[in-house]
Amino acid sequence: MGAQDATAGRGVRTAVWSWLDERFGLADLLAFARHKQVPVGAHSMVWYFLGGVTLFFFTVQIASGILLLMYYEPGEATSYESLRYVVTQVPFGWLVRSIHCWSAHLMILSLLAHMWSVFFLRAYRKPRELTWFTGFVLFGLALGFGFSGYLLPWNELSFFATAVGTDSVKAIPGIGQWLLRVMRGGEEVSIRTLYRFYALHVCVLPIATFTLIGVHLLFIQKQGMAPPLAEKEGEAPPPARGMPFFPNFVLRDLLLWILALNVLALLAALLPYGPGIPGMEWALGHKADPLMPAYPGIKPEWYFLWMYQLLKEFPPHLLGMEGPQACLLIASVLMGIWFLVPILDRSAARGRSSAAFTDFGVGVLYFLAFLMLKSWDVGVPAVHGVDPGAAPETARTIVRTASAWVLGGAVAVTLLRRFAWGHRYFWIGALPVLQALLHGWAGMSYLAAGAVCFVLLVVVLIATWSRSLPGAAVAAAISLCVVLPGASPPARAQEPLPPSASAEGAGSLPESDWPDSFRELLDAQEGGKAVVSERGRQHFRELPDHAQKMFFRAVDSGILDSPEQLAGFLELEISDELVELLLTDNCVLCHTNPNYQSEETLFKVRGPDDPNRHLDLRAVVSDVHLRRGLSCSGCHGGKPTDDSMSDEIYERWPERDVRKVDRSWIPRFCTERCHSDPGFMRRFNPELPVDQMLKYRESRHGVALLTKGHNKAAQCVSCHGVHGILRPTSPQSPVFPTNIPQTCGRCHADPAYMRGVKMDDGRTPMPTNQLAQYRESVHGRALFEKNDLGAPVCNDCHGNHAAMPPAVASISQICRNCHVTQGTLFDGSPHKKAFESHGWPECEVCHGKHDIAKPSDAMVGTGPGSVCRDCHERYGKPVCNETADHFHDEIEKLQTQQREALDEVDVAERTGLDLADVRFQLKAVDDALTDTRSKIHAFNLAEFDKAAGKGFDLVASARKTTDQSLREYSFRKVGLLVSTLIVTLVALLLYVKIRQIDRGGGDDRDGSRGT
Amino acid sequence: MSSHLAEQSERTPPRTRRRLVTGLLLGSLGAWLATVLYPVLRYLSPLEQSGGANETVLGDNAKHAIADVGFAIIPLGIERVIVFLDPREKLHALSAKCTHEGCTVQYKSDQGLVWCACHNGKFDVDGRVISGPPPRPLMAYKTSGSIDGKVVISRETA
Repeated sequence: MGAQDATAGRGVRTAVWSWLDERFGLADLLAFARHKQVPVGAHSMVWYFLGGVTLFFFTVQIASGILLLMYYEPGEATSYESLRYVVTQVPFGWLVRSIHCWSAHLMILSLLAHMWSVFFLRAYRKPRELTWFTGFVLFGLALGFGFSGYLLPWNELSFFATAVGTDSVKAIPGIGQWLLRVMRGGEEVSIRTLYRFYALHVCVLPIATFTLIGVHLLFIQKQGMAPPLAEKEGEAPPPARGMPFFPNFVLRDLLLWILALNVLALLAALLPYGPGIPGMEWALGHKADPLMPAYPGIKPEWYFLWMYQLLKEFPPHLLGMEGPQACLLIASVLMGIWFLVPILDRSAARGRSSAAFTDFGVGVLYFLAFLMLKSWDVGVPAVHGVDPGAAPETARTIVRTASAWVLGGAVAVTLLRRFAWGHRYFWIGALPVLQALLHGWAGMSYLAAGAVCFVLLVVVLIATWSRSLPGAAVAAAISLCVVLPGASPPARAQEPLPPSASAEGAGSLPESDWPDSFRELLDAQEGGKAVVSERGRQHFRELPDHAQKMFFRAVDSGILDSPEQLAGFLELEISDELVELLLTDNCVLCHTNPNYQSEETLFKVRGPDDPNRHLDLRAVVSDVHLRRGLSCSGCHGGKPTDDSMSDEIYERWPERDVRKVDRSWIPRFCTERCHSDPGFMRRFNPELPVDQMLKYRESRHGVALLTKGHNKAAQCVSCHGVHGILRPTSPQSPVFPTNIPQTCGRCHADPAYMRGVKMDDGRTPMPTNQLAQYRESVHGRALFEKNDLGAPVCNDCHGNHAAMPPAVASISQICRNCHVTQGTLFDGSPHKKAFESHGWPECEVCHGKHDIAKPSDAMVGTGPGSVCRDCHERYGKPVCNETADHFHDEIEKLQTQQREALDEVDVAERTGLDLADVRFQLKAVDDALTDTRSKIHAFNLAEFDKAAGKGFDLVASARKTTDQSLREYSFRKVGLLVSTLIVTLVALLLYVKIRQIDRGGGDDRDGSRGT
Repeated sequence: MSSHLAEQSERTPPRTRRRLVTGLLLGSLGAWLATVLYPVLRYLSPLEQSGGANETVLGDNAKHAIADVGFAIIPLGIERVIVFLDPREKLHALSAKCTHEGCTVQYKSDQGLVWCACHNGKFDVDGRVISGPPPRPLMAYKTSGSIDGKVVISRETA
């Protein structure tokens, strides 16, 4: 029965085969494949499979790319989000993206290995030059895939890497700027750039690659694979042997592909975001934000690192070009040489292996390796977001380590080449190693070391090639190239024009028009040094002519006749308008002239320790009154145009000896004439209050000064200053929030000044520790350390013009100005009534006064630091302490659970899972905790439990998601194990099958040999 | 001849062994294909969308549409709902997805019936099939409130 089934099955297979063969001539194709031979040499067969492996990875890229396209939505608001959705939500989305990324890197890796194997085996030699050229272009397309695909996640790393990568294009002479705009779709990298890169990545590049792969394969099919050259220099080529393409070579290919897929799956599953080395990591990170600064240490993909590092090595200008231009030129020349290798290598065309070219290939590897190692910051620990190369010390360590690695590698390779492969030519390969050593250990710059090695290269090339005529011509051409850049006049890069020699302002008078009297003052010297500094002179030169003329007039009138006075004005560096205001005021002109004034009446630039610091000219020019046109005469009397002291000046204020002793005239003077007069104040600022005096009379300060005659009590100038009064909104003003504690503390924190001042009870001395306590309080720290202008300062609780201590009844209301929720909750609590009955100042009872500390959970409950226990034991019931303990314990429990959940997330994230959403959810527990703590003020168990419950629910939901993710991770591991076992089985069986076929027993139908 | 045959049998594995290897190879290739296909198929299956809201309030645009063209099609969760006033000014809400091939239906106020333009399916104002190919009636939704005020359309069957 079984035999009958087998016969029937074979019958069906034969029928299907015949049906297809009749239509498509499959037998002919099979016969062709069986007769096609793959050359077999003494070297490893593995080099013949690298192209196939690259093609395989490309196929994986197409497949995984198509899968990604099914969810990816290009767009500013969707690119990052859709990929995040793929990675975090879609089943196996993380695997598909990870495979796409890993496969991209492995494809480039196998492509490079393929290219170098072709180079070293001279497979590019005649007649296969075009295969090399198409391969080179395919390599360029692969790099294009990498570069365009990098931007598509639209995250921070890709954004800045693309910005830097595209920017280098502008160095191309002539069309650079245009090309940059075309690449970016505008001036800057934007979502338009992403659209362009997207079109390139999923449409243009695949079509170009498919076409070129077709051509590349056609060439290989037509010409066959290159037979091996002689293994050792000087030996004859081995006799031609072959292996049937089908099935022997194809099955080997299949085996390698399956193994490659398994390696890919293992890497993708175990390291879904890459191995974490620079240029090989693809965690989504943060979304791109063009308005965020780039973070240090941003690097491109590893296969661009050599170019990235080379760009960094170039100075801003070199050989008359901009650094990037010179770098691009050199890189283009190197790539051009690599491209033209089949033409340049004349020996290979004649079927001989050129020792110099082999060495050249090795040298290129050293050259690239050194640049890559350097950009990888070898020798210093990698810290994310830090560029170790920025510090000279670490930069030196990196260079030395990189050059040591290159030297070590080169020694090993050279020994291998000399003794295993019999190579004897090492001149060219030694040069990049020499360059690395000169740069790393002899202190030469990379380019200087490069120049030395380049000269040596020319010498080596001349010595190597001058034996033959074409070689001599090439050597001469290279020598010419070396000489030419030195001889050609450097093409100057565009540099900004030097600044204009004219330093005069647009509408200023030329120096020749300045009167001699003024020039005399300006040039006056004291002790061999000019009185007016060069900065002051420059300021004068830049003044408009009408302001300059005012100086000339003042000098002419004789009121400005001191070089120090002139220097004082010019060094203030104030606006033209203020200069004019000062120079039209005779009070200012006279009182700034040291020839007319004593030190007690002279205004000049003074320091903070000057005993007459209230006569600081710098303060005067910033005074809000002066800026509104109210200069000296506004308070002192007289007119700005008076030539001498007006009598009114002496009548307006009390006598000098009286006014210094009794300061009560000051508030009256400030308010009666101006600040309490709405009509007058409206002329300047209708918004300003005019009730300061009303409040001040009621304040403790006002009562002390005006009623009790205590002259020490604060009045207007105590807080606002005298000649430099600023708007309260100015950060320099003594009544600006950050300065108020210090302003009040000038008196209140001075025990000597406050001696004799009593509290309201008339007995207790006024404490002077408020400022010190405030500095340490939660409010003081917020103000001074976090610069939080919303933090309450002295006047927010005590009032300003009506300053007085808040009474018991009003303390809670004052706190409620900011802590609204807590106040409202307290109002509905049983404590409200209890506190009222005891006459306790609500908030202050638990939180304190000037030294209010940041509330801690220890304050609740009955443990150490509790503020509940003492009162409860004296006045409460046992249940009160139980409730307080419940509050404390629940908050502790919620915090502990949040911490544990975060630890679980940490563990899960270390496995490569993306749990950003869970982390965000756990962050919301902080809000729930804040709400729960607020609810304590209601002292209501149900309200509290409801608020805490929200936090517990959030933690539970987050833990559930983490748990699910971890279970998913376990499933991944099991799945990976199963698939690896199956692939291993497939590989083993395939290997057995290949052996069977090699021995000639692979055909099931008749056992005949495949060839 | 016999020596040649003996040599052949020594060099080539027995047919059953070759068949076993081929069979195992094909079988394991199939299993390997399954491990590749399983994640791909899971990846391709869209995540289940939630049904969304159970009720919705008729917006002003929809009310204007009912006044102007006689009906409005509004979303309710992931479903489409047609809302219209019948000739007796009674508000109806029916599933707008024709039960025949899923086209979106419309209300013909001049004929007082719901019509599907794709294959000429006709339903009465309560969603019952009058003529044409639709195999089942349109599902009716519950409406509450008046068109002049707040109208709530809910999933609860009318």
